[in-house]
Amino acid sequence: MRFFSHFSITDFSNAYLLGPDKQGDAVLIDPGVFDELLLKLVENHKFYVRYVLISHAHKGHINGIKTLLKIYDAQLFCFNHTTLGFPCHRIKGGDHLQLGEFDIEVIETPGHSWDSLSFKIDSFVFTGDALSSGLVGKTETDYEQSLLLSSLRNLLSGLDDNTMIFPGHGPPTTAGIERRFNSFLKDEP
Amino acid sequence: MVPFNLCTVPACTAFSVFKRDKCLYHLDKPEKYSEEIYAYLAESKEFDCMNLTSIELADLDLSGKTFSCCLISHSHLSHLNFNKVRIDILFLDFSSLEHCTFKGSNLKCTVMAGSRIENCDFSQSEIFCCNFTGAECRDTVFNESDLYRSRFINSDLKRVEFKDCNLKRVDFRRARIEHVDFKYSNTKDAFFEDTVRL
Repeated sequence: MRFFSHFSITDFSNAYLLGPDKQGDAVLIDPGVFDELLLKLVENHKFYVRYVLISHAHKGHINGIKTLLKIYDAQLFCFNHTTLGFPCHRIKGGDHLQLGEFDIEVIETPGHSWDSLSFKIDSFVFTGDALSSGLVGKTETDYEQSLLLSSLRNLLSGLDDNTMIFPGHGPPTTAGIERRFNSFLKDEP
Repeated sequence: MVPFNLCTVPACTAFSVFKRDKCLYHLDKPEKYSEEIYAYLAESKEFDCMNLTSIELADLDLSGKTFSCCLISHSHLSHLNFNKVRIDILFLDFSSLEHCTFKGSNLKCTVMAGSRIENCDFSQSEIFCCNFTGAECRDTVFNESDLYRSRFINSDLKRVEFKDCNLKRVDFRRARIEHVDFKYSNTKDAFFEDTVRL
């Protein structure tokens, strides 16, 4: 497997590209932008973006889809039936997807938004805006905050310390780091 | 197909180390493996999806090399020369780094969270979106570096220099800082909420 991160300078979000060791179908997570750098990353490795996973439908994580779909015949996967008007395969917590060579477990992590999903691909977890290192996603109400913390504690309870977490914003982290240093997740309510 | 496979010893949750099917702890001859790794690190220039978790490395010149999506977590590194390295995703979390130099490096998405960093030099470097959450830094310099979007949340910084640095969106929330020098750096663009200045 080849794995790359890409930073969007317009929305300051992270996209992640997973492809096979050699050429073939790739999975792209949260394309907040589809710019020349990301295109080069795909093309230089002779990947074809066949699948797009969307953690949640905030623009910083989906804005690149329109450009992407002009270049690649990609299938979209998200919590909703459509994203930016494009049809999506609707997925929910507990679903297991086999996309190319990748086994993907879908975990619901609502709170930051009602459609927030995390994706577990072996020892990698992609959390969108739900969790980033030392912080949790922004919420509008106490109920959303409670929902988010509950869903994140549930997520972390199923992960080994060495599971690598790749958030929608900010640097990578691990489940062990978040368990130990994330003040929001330390104390049960 | 994933870059890191679990150790083949039943119930072990650690990843197997580079070029082996077991973790370092379960290898039959870890000393021999270390010798091999020393030679490999010295000879090769690019390292991709390499797991060296729990390794001890000392007195190595790794300057100018490239690390991409590698794991060197829970390791002990001392007197290593990482000057002018290029890194894109490297986990060095819960490690100990002593007298290591990263001068003039390009560190992207490097994770040193929970690590003890002592007498290290990160000056004149691009330290983009790196994770120092919960790290304990002592007598370390980041002078003239661009730390854009890096995080020091809940870290413990003592006698650390951030002189003439770009601190835009650098997060020091809930950090404990003592004798930390931010001279000529744009601290107004960084986050210091609940930072404890000792």
